[in-house]
Amino acid sequence: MNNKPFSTRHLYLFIAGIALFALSLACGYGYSGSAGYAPQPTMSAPSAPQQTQVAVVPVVMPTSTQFALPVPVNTVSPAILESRRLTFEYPPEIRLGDTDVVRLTLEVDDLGNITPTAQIEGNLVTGNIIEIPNLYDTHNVIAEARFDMAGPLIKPSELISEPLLPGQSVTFYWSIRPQEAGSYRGTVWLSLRFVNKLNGEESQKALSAQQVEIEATTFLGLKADTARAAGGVGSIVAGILGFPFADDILKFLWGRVKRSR
Amino acid sequence: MKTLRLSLAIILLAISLILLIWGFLPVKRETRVQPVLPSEMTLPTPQSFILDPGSVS
Repeated sequence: MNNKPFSTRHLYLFIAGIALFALSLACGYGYSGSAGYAPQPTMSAPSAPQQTQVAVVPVVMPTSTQFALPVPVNTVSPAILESRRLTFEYPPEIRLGDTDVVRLTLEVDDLGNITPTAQIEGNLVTGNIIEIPNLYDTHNVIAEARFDMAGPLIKPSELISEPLLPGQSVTFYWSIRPQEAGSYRGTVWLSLRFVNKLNGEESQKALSAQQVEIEATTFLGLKADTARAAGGVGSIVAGILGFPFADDILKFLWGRVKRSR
Repeated sequence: MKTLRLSLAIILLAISLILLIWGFLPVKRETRVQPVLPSEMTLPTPQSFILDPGSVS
């Protein structure tokens, strides 16, 4: 006969019951959230059930709550699974009369890492891999660019399109020629156009808008080509004038001219 | 006469060289590099159309 009011066996059963109760709470029993709503995977979301669990049974490991919560349904939209780098190159100053080139490149970033990682004191912490559908499989992607600037002559002035293919870079060039001296401001737009391969439906997304300021300069009011021509002619004339035997040559030439008369 | 000629030549040469240097000096170029993440190259999803469940009674 067991005369003890609480035996060790009863105590174990009691603890197991409380643990089961806590686990059922952690699994979402009585969770009054709407069925269709998938909670955002933020760190603040599991805070409420975690507090409840800690209040009821402090013995049970509270960290298990994070794993026991319903997994949020990720509705990840298709994306281009490449890290890319946008390089924009332009001349901040152009000599009046000269033509220069503005270049915009959307290249594949070899060092780009899609999986988020962090290195802390030698320990590599790798983030969860989210399977993102590849946009190249479902859509034709076209990169479009336009250079808007009032004043200078820009070619091509209209929208330029180039297909964006996996692992390949796209580069856009514009030639710019200022007509007058002064400062010009403009914008270079880059957008992606997605054309659905199945139904041909099109959608567009702006990727970048680069602000540009270009100054057209002169030298004492001279254009670049005029200055170069004047510099060339002046150098030749100065070279003739400064020639050591120029005096003798000029006297000889003058003497021949006089003799011929 | 010779001094005047040489002085004129030096002045003319200096001006000409300044013009040539300005005319042929390579133009300074500015380069901007901006990383583009895969999350930026997704289909446009208007976030405003997604209703907040908390605001729906």
